[in-house]
Amino acid sequence: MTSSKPSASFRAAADRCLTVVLVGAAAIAGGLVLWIVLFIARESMPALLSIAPWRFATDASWHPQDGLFKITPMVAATLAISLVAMCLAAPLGIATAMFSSFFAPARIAGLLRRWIEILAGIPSVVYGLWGLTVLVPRIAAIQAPGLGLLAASLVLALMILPTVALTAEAALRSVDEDLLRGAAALGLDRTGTALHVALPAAKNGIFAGLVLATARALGETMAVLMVAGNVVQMPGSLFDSIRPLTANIALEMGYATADHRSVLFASGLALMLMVGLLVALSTMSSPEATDG
Amino acid sequence: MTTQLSPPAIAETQTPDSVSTPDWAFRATDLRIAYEGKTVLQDVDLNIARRRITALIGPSGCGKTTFLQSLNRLTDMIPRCTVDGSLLLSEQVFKEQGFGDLDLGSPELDVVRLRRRVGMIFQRPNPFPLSIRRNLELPLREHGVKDPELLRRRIEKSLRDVGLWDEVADRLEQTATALSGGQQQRLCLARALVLEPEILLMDEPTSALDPLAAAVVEDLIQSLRDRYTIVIVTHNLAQARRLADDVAVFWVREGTGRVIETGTVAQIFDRPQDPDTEAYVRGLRG
Ligand SMILES: Nc1ncnc2c1ncn2[C@@H]1O[C@H](COP(=O)(O)OP(=O)(O)OP(=O)(O)O)[C@@H](O)[C@H]1O
Ligand SMILES: [Mg+2]
Repeated sequence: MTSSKPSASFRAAADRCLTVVLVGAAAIAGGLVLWIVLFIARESMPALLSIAPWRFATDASWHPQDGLFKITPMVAATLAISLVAMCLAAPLGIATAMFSSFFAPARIAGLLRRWIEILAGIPSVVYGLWGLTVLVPRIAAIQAPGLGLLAASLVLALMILPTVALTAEAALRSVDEDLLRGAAALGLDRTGTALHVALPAAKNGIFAGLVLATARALGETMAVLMVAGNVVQMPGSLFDSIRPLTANIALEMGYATADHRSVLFASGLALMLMVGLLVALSTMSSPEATDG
Repeated sequence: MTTQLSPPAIAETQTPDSVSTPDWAFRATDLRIAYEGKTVLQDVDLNIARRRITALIGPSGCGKTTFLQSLNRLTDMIPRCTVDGSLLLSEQVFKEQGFGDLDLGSPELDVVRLRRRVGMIFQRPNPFPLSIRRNLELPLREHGVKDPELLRRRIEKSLRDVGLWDEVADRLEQTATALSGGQQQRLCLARALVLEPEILLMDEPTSALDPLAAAVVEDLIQSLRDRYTIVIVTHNLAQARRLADDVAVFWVREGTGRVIETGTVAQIFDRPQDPDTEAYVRGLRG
């Protein structure tokens, strides 16, 4: 045949070629992640082997130079900061998304979205600076020193707000048009439709966004380090200075050696586990969330 | 159907027991609908009779859905969709009389009041992603029904009306999206019926269902005959013939949709006047 179309065998070869390239790319991406995990695991090994695991909780304090490795206050600090930040960012972010997808005029909604995208692009060190110079003095006026759980949570909340708002907005926007028309045809007003139809329909996507934001909160280092005060102690009140795991790694890695260094890697591993667990939990709890 | 040529009387000046009240539910006069300035439907003069089933038929893209959506003002949801001309909803369809016919073109129209009397069923079943019970409770609550006992009774009644009660009575709290397509469509019908409307608009309500489920839904529509005013869009001519009392044929002429012929089901299918109608109902064109 003198057809100008490529022959079947040529197309099959092209298919094979592309498949090889794509599989290769996927393998590199997956391999890199695995490599990082394995590397961190290997570096944590000495600590995990030579220090009995319960000592991370039962040691008297965190004095790694003296062989005391109590990390539970820092785990608690990480969890507390992330929790308070999520409690602030989740309702605010979801409310913002609801406003811009159902109540705001199109122009305002567009501006709002642009604005939030900008918020998402601000480097974390800038948030830290802002927290340090604006938030901390104001919190200190209520109760010294100002550096601590509240400051860190507020800064963190602001940082993860765009993640929550943008993912929630995307989820709300992708709610089936037929559902919204069905709601309108039943005489539901905007509020009823938004709250009782769109929100339940978008809940998987919103939930996925919350998980993403929590993961980000757990791992955020710089901004938190700048305003948390970094005293190793169990968080007791909103005004306590605390040191989250991430800040601890960043602060001490420069000079840590031997077991100390290895424990820092182990706490990195612990952070990864927390995030991994969170993601696993979220996929388990909502099997239909694959599209979110 | 379009024999009343005089402009519709304004009911405010009539006595409620007036014997001359025309038995129509909707009356469109010189209706024109445009999307983004482009007219897709024009010169529509159509009376839709009360307590009868009117089928809207015609080839794809001739404006049947557009017209149907203007009847409950769902066209409001489409940006840059404009409706001109006169479209009235008879005051007869309201429980409380004496307010006059409802001008569906009025910007001050209370669409919530309108949509309580005019329910709609869509082509693709669209139950809310909530429990079966919540699907029915939500519209009731939105319209002010709060009493738990009343809610329960009306939910049960509407589910019985669509023959779904025995199938779902023991799993009312399960999510509605887990039902089969046919069950979902019947739930959507129940959801419309639960508000006790007078009129039901249906846009190809059985076309997304398998033949068995479609037959069940069609039987259900038959069972609503005489109690409701039903306007149904269908591409299934056999279905139109089985269900309809009256038929309106939509057709694109000179680039815009129009109603080319109206009449009883016998007139349209057995003695069509318009050559396009004749070809269409014989399955030769469209
Ligand atoms: N949202 C919209 N914006 C612009 N044009 C539209 C819109 N909806 C429909 N139209 C156009 O209006 C015309 C009538 O559409 P409509 O959906 O009412 O036809 P229909 O008779 O219901 O067709 P079908 O039988 O395929 O459902 C079509 O030309 C369509 O392209
Ligand atoms: Mg249509």
